[in-house]
Amino acid sequence: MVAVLYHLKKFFDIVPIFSHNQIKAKLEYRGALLIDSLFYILGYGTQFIILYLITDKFDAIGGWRQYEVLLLYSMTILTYTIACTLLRGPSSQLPEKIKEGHFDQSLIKPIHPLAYEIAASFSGYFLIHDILGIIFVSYSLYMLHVEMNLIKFIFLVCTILGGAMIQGGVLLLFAAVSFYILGENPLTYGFFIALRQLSESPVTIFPRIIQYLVTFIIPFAFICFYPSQYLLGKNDFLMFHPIVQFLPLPIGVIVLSVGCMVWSHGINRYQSSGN
Amino acid sequence: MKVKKKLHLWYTLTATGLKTRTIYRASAWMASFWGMVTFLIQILIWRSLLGAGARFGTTFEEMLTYLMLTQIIVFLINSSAGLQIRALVRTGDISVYLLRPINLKTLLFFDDLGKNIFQAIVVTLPICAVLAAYFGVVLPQDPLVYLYVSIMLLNGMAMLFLYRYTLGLVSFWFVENPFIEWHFQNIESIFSGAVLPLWLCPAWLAALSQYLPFRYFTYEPLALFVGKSELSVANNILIHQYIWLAALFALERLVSTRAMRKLTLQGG
Repeated sequence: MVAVLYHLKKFFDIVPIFSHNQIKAKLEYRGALLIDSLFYILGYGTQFIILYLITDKFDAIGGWRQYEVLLLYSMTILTYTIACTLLRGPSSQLPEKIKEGHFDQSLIKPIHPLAYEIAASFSGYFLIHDILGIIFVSYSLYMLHVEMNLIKFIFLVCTILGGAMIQGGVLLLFAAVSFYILGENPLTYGFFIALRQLSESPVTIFPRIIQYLVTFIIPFAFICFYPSQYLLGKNDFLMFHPIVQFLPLPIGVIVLSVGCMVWSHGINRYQSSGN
Repeated sequence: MKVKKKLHLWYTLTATGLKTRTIYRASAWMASFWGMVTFLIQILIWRSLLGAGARFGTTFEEMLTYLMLTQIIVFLINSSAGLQIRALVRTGDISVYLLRPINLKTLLFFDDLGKNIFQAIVVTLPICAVLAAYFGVVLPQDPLVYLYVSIMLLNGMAMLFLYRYTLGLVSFWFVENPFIEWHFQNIESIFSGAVLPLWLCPAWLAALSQYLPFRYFTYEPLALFVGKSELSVANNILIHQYIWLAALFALERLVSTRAMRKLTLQGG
């Protein structure tokens, strides 16, 4: 317990320092930063627009109407950006660091490597992506005329936290494979992005085997498909019990814990490629 | 003699590009496999949208043919020139490349070609063939369509390369070149019809895309292939492609000349 508190204190001490340095480094190329931020907004916005155009033309996907589908996409993006804001370092950047031998640096710091990786890659600059996600979700909820009360709001916050934990946990799990195998990690970032699409659309349109996959193996259906039904008053739980709509947070805690454990255990298998 | 030497050089560069892909084939296979997962999810979404029969004048088989060919062609005419230029500028290795007796543009073009041949024919085509056999596709009867589509795709390939190469040159001004990232390509995709075919888009978007080069890369030839545009407009499309090619070539020359003046070497 004392060791955990020690690492936590260290973590919160170094986060502002790293974040400050990251922003300073970004501001070195101000023109590029401005254009980059603008393109990020337009890039995510374009995906939103394409989905808007498809649902506008076809009216619904698998019985889910235009703004219901857009809510699924928005929730997926918001939870993904939150997960990435915090876990970019130990997930998407990890395979390259291991390949180049740069991960050695994390092992010689007086703090747990996972905490160091999170702190070192954290940048306030990435909060702009989260704000974009919040705008998408708010807009979709507004267009759906969802009446928000305190319980629904708390449920929404818990769902977003759970969804971020699920995506973060899976990102960590996939990245941790790089510790165990030499050479290319088969569970690349591209794989994650490909699978993430499963939570951007109603799960009902996929074959039963995929419905099981996103419920039990890679629980992406809990990011937004099941919980958004409580907010929208829908009753589309496939062959599962309606309780699934209330499970994103516990599932998120489990997935993230497993991700952290596998990641931490993987360090023991790390073989430096030298530099 | 000079022509023979040049052809040999192009062949060598293409073979080298192909070889780099075969050496890192595990990585190429994985990237393609996950690309195919994305593609399969798209197919399932479209199957749900179109169902049996036709909606908005489009059948599922037509859409599948269009999406599958887009997937193969995008791999076949893909260009990583922009990413390569950015990496070369960042590391300073661009100086070594500029000193070589081969033009940088030629080198990158044939390197792309070699990589694309492996990616499209060895990896993507077999997977698409299996999907086509399972779901069924539509093929045009008129041999003229095949001829026009082939010419248009060659033009599209040249256009896309020049476009990506010119965007890559922006790295001489912005080391963190944002024009070659996924988010910028997303913006292009709305006008290129790669995700949502332009015949299903609102009229204002289709009209706006007429003034941009993206629809002439792959959309126009493939729309002709699946019968969504008439053979009578094929010559008109070819004219548009040549105009865009000339414009992109002129722009590339202009940016190249200025980039060489701007060249700042990092490291060494």
